Amino acid sequence: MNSPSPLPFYTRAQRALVDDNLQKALDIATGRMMVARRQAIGLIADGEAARDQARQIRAHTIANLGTYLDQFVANAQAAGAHVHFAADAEAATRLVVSLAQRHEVRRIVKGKSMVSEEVELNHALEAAGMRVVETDLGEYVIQLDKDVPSHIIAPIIHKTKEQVAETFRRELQATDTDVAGIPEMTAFARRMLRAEFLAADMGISGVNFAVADSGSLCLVENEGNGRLSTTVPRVHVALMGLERIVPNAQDLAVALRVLARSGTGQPLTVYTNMITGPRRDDDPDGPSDLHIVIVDNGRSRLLRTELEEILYCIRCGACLNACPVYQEIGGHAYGSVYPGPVGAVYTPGAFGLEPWSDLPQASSLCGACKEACPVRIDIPRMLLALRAQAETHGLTPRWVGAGLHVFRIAATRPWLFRLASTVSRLMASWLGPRGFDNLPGPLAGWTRHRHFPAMARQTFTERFREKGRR
Amino acid sequence: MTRPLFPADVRARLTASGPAVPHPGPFPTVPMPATLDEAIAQFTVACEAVGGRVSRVTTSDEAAALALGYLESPEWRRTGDDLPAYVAWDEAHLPLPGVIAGLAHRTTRLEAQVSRDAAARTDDCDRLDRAIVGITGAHAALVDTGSVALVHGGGRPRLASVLPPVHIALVPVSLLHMTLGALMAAQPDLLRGAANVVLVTGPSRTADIEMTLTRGVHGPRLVHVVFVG
Repeated sequence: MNSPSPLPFYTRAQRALVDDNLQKALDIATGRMMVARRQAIGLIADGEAARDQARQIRAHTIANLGTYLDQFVANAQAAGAHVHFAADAEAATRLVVSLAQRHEVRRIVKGKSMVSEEVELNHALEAAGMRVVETDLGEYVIQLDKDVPSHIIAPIIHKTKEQVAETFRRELQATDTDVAGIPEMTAFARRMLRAEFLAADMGISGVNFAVADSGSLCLVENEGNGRLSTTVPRVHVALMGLERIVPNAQDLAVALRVLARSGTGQPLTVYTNMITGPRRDDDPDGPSDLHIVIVDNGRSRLLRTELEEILYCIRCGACLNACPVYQEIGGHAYGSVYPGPVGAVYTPGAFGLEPWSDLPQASSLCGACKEACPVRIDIPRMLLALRAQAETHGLTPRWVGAGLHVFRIAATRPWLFRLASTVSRLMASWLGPRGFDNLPGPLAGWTRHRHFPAMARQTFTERFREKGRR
Repeated sequence: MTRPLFPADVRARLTASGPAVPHPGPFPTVPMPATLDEAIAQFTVACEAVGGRVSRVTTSDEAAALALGYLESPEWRRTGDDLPAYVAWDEAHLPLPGVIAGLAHRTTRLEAQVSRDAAARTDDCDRLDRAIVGITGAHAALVDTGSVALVHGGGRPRLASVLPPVHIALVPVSLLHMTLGALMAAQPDLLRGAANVVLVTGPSRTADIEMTLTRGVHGPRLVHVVFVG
């Protein structure tokens, strides 16, 4: 997942656009999530103030990340946690495999973790002979299907219930009654996974926020699989992005106030799980060992650069749902664990511009992502910055350069510009209002999945002249 | 530690540079409703909106009757158990300790302790998995989101609120706070004080398949918040 697909972005997007199931699912899901978000943020009187506060907290924390990380590490260790650092994906997987071996682990349950997907942890653990089971319902289906998630918070947004039923029948020998409907399939997954939880030696989770002044981890989720993964097994390993820090519990409350509302439209997720060290002496349950793995994997190279702001991200997924490009092509086409607008900045920024230089082009710079972002990250600005970097490094696709060259010739010669617009308008009136919808040859890509904007009857200059005369 | 956690190149980038970005200071908290009844009414609206149930009782008999309603309902009955089983926090941590006595004779209370020993641990978890109801106290209830805060520790097992299909949380009315922010501001040491603090906002749910809401996934399908007082 960390390496780009062999197919060019254009081909991947093309496939997504002709996938009827995906198109149907995306229409329903992104629309619903956007409505839910607007309602949830609108519901609280201080919603906009909370966004400003959350942004300021993230900005302050990232600017002083070293100080807060040190504080977090010291407090987590004081609470009895083991804290590790992994510079890259390989170091992270090696470390977790060796922890599992040291604790004589055979069976592992996993809560949802973007970082573990980013570093491709499951492969490494399975190669070391361990049984690894994803326990978030969507991730479980993804694992059974050997597929990849297509949305940060809704991993199987691209599948229909019939497809899930088929997976359960094929992989788990589910009966017709087991998969009669969505509630039945959910109950079936609960039964299958309950057995996995009870027998597991190690639970692996992600981290939504880490609280510096208490050394606590905060994990949010709705299903209860995250709580079970971090409570039942005797060892808990938490994989945490380097930038997940908030200074204190009050700041955490602000971040949580905007996170779930932006992500799924809930006031809070069902479970907000805050963990400070392993089980204590008089605790009746909980894991005996807690390992926190702080993963860099390209994050620190964004610090103190023009892309630093992308580290403010709290992974709510709101920008995905708001993005007109994501709404059409879904997550897989981006080819990265982090799709959508945030991924189009984060992926080339953290994992390298060269293999991912086409992602920053996958945007119309409409600004819907910035508008939707609970911490108001200026994604369009950074997409432009990355395009400029790509240009400097000679990574811009040749047709973009050629196209702009032609435009430059026309735009800097008024007579030529006038001639071109006159010719286009004549052609438009000759071909009719939808006349440009089937452009020939290489231009067909422009119009296959959208309407070409209708030509205005008058040019701007003509209208301006008329108004001026009046 | 013999060796620094962060390598020198990472450390260099972690160090602040450029203009100082100040912390915004504490976020103003929303005030509590004027009366207790109003606070409970608001909590109820928020909790029911996410599929939770809310009651208010004064005696342990009322609380026990409510728990027995779930324990003896055919919906949850397990084959092979003589008496329906439940798991609970210790009496000392329940606002109505008499509720445990009220359940005796008709139910089985499961021992909540989970061993640190690997083999015994699995048996303990298997045993607790038979519980139909988990009864807990709570450390706080949050008016604006309809959440209860569970602070786990001695006599307050975590599994009581996540393994069984029904979770009953007994909360003294004196523990209502307006928001999570207000709770954290009032008790800045809350997280440091326990290995595990959980906010529960309604029953376990998923919308992974076709964005269709389904309640009762890995955690309880029913969450019943019972105010005491």
